[in-house]
Amino acid sequence: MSIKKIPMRDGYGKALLELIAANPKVIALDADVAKSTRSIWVKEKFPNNFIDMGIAEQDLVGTAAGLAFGGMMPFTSTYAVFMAGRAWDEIRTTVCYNNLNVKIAGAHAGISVGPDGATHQALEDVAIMRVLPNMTVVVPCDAEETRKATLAGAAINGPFYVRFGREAVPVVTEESTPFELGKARTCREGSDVAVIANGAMLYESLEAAKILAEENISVEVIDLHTVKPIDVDAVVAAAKKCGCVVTAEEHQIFGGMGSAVAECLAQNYPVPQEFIGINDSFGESGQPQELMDAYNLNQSAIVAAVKKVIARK
Amino acid sequence: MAKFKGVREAFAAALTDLVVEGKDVYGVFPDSLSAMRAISFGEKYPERYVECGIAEQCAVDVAAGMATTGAIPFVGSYSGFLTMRAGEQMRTFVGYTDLNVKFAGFNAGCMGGEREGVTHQFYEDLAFVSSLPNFKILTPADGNQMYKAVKLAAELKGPVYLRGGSGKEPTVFPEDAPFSLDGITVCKDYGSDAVILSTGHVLDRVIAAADQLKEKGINVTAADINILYGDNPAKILEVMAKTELVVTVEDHNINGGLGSYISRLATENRPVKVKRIALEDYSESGPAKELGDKEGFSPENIAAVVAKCLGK
Amino acid sequence: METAALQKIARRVRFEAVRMIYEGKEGHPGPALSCADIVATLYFDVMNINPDEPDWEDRDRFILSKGHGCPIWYATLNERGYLKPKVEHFHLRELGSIFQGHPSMHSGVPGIDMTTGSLGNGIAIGAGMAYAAKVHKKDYYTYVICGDGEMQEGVTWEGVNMAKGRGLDNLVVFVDNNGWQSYKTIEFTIGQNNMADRFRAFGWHTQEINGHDVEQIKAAVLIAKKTPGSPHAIICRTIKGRGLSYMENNNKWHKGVPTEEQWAITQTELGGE
Repeated sequence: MSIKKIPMRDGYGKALLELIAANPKVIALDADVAKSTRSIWVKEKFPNNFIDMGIAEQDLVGTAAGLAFGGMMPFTSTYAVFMAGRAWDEIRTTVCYNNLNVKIAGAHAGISVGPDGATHQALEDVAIMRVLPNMTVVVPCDAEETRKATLAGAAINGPFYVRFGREAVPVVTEESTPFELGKARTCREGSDVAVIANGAMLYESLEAAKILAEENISVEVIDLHTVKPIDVDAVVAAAKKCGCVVTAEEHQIFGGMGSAVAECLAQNYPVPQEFIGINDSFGESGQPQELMDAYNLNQSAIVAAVKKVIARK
Repeated sequence: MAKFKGVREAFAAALTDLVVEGKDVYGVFPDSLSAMRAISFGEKYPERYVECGIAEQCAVDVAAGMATTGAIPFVGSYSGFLTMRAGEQMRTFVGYTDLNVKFAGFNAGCMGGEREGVTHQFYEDLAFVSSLPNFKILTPADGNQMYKAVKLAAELKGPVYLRGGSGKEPTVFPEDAPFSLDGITVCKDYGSDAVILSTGHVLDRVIAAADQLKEKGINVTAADINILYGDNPAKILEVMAKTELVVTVEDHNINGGLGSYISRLATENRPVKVKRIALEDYSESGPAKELGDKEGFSPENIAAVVAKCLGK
Repeated sequence: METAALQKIARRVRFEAVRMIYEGKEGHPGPALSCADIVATLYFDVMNINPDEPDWEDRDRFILSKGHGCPIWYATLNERGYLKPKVEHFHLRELGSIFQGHPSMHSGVPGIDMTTGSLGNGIAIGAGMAYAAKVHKKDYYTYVICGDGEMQEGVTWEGVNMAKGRGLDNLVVFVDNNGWQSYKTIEFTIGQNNMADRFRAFGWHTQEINGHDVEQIKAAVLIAKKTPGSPHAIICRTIKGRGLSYMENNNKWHKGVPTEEQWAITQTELGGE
């Protein structure tokens, strides 16, 4: 059976079109990669609601801040590595400190960017965004969830970061699947271990759960799309129910969703946790799936981590 | 070893001494020579003082270029102007390249930037640097420790991030105390009711809290963590092993810093309760002591949080 | 080196750059071809280097600030003898290959002085190398090739400012002014905005040449070396995709892979001797 795959960025582009159709104050800004981020769709359909800032990420965020002051709702997009890396100061002091209504999309995130290599693979952006007060941080799992996350970002007043990858990824949610910012979604009930995942790793976690079910290991799978604010109740409930946790993300372990879950567990209900993520290294060039396998971001890594963490209970 | 008042003078003194020792070190400063208390260094060694103007991204790139030739550049400025304005340059041109560039970031924390206010107080730097492979993070608690940390940084191969505050922080460590390579120094060992872990310039407050708790019959261990996210946390785990409650104290955002590091060590090794005392929002202008007290870093509040977690 | 011989090498490295993209099935051919003549002239005529000793401390330094153009650099290093034995198949951008999607100084390609790929940083990094040469009393030059698009990055001008302020006349920057960036033209995106005059305004010694004329490239470097006191900008008018009829001035080739048919044209137009 072939799995339907769509790039998450398509969901971002679709959401922008819906938002602008309903609210002309929504404006998309990009830094010379509009084709990649899909903000080009706005340029094609609503040319007056689009600005290409050129290769100038700091300017991108600064101008968006000005637009927000002027009553617009700017959605900025570029590659996550340049957004979070080069424009962090502007995002922190100009946008977050002033609690401005600027929306930020980090595209081409994660190692699955593939052949462009380490300079273009954002593996730190969640850590960087998560530490900023007033910021909401969302890592959706597929195109539809990216669409909903983007719409939800528009519905809140304040800074918002949504992160998505480049590759087509399996469709795991439908239009009717519920999505609420700040609320984790239980995708599969289980009792031996809770696998908490987001981004492309959610699909891998669901597949791992199927494999483990055949070995009579009951896996709860949770979509922790909103990394900040973290759904403390859901994480703690899962820990109480299962007694151990595996986190899986396409990001550095240090500072990412796994660290957020560790903070939450350690503070409220400490249980053994294993971490699937990039383990303190940079990426490299390669095909997306090859890289995911080479860096242990796949079903078999989750299966192994589950067995390890259950043994620690 | 020269005498100095705090972490900034210690940084400048160590840099000067490294030149005297014959090391090929440079101070790369984006208009920060004076803030780094390094004016005498600049006057004494004009060729080793690389002024880049108010241009942090340029300073990091220049340092990267210099390091390719074998030089050991120290980029000194306010921590956020380095990690935030020049974050991508630190990541790609120093971290990914694993070049021998050292960063000294001051004004860290609300007490580091104190009266300057939020734009000059930085409590997000650790979350970023800890996510960068190849970087080593040193967080000396006072001037004596900073001096040794700078010397150590020059010996370590590859990128190093030194975190410092205002330069007015109290001296806690004796002059001859080593900069622990284990990443932890136990300062007070009253017992195992709780372990309070401190990083950077809140250490004097943590020690005072431990003393206050002792008077109330709560016996804790207070320790300084001076290397964050290091390769070998064995000694830290050893200290954590003796208690059921760890409390972390840091002048940094609650996400991504010491508390995050210790939480991960706990869930990955021995699940134990970790309570984090840290900043949860932007701070404000104010003198360091009053501001620190207001933000929850008073010895009284630290002691109260520990007592509350213990149900006492 | 004789002009005819240099032209032949430029043609050869163009072919090799496109071949590695064709074989690797991904890469940026247009941006590689526009700076082919500059890279070839630097490596085969201008720079004081030794392929047998890539880390020789007195060598001239080179930074490809527009890192996505790296296929031309990889091809040139290969032709110049840095890779031993000479590489036949590059495996560009493949997992485990030394030829990363953007150049890395640690991936195993000899002669790469600096990692690049994130735009805007080459001039400031070059300034660091040039500064180190001054304090270490070395007489090597640092050469940087920038894209025109990355002139939009703020850090570019921080580096320009600093290099002038520190009097780094051992720094030579080429701007590959092909007029295009990833989506459209520079003019459309944000404007050329007096590219050369901007360097002049910062006090740089600035020349404007045809970036496909190897004699002009050689001459501009000679003039730069005879003009002390300030860093040097050589603004090169170039054509994106230069050398292939189907690629020239067509921004579809910012990133792309030739079809079988286009590969046949490539062999006709650039192949052979």
